[in-house]
Amino acid sequence: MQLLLPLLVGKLFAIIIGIYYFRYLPRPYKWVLLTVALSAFADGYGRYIALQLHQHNSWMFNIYMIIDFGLNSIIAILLTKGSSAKRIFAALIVVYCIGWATEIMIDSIYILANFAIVLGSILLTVMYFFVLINNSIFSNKDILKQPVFWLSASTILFCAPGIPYWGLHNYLNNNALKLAAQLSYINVVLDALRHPLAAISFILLGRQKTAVLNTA
Amino acid sequence: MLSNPIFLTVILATLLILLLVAVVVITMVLSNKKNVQQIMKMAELQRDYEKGVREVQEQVMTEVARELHDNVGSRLTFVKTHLQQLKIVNPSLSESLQPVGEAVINTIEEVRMLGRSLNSDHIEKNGLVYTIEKEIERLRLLNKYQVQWEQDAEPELNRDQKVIVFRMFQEMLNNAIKHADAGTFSIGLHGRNGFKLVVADDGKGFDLGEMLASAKGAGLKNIMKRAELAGLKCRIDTAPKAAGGNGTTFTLEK
Repeated sequence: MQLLLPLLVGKLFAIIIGIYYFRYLPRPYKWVLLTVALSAFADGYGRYIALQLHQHNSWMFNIYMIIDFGLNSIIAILLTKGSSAKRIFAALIVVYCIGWATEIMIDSIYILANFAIVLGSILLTVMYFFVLINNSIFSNKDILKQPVFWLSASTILFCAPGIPYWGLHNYLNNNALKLAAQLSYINVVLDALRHPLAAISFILLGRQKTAVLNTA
Repeated sequence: MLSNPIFLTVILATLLILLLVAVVVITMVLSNKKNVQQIMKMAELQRDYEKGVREVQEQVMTEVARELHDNVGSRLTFVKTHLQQLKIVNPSLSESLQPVGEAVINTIEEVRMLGRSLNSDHIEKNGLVYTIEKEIERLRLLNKYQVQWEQDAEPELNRDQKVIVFRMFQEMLNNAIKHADAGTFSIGLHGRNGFKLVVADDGKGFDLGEMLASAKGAGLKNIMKRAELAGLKCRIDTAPKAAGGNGTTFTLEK
């Protein structure tokens, strides 16, 4: 429960902000809001399965991870200009699905597919760095005032630093449970940072749109 | 905990990746800032250049106005005086000289008005309401156009803004006469509750998007650019007559 609180606070904050500015959000950002809501649901339900039903919840996170990766990749495709980049991103989704399915088939749906998480994190980091460069670096507007910057930063910040932890996740769970619990704080901190950063993009979009409406 | 090599490796690897991400993102932010500064500097230089060009144009027009007044005007006055003398000396020529005299008087008046319209000092001295009124008078003298004119007070604009507004007004009229075949104008200048200038004509109108995209829209773009330079908002409501349009209305506001 101690770990759940900062996660839920960050997600709830992003969801409230997203709903408040919902009508001003372009389509990719509505999808972002959906990913935040799904993530809150997965965290809450996963913990319910483990703590209340006393069952393994890895199957649920295995299903959630492919949905989350798919949604985040689609958002990256929607935010990218240029058809070749979009095609490459679509190919990366296929690569991820193959990786995910292979791991699930080799292990089981009841064991967390940690290497699929690592693969997904690497692919999303690459995609969102590209989105960031594609949308912001050559822009003549202040990068910090661009919603796409905060959205990309939130995804990169969550995915990239978590790679070492997720790479060792299953090994540690099997061999050093106490250490695994200590290191899980890495994921908590990164996840707690991710969604408030995404919320900044909602706020910027809402403010930009209301400013336009006020001057029209 | 810290003595555990796995723990240390994971933490250090995480921190290293975080550092790398931070370095890349900060580099992007700094490069963007530099880019934005450069663009702003370029825009400022462009504005300064355009201001310089405008000032030179105004100076040239003022010179031309002065020349019209001092040189052409005085020569015409000399012709008028000479004609009057001729009429006195030779009363039999009085009747045949009458239309010539009238033409000279009209020309003197037209030159005087043209001089005023070219001279931006005149706008500063007499105000925007008076200058626009005189321009409308010039238009009415052509006996081809109907002009409805209303105003309430002199707007609170600085000298540059007044000159720009007046030049834009001239461009709007010129466009309506040259391109839109307009016959009726409705002009309103409001200064009581903030500045607002409305110039509406009954011409054939045009497709705004198409016009701005084509090379023909240079004058229109010029009007919009001037408005931006003066810190004013310019709205253009128009549509081709074939598409159910009802002329063109320019609205200029502070």
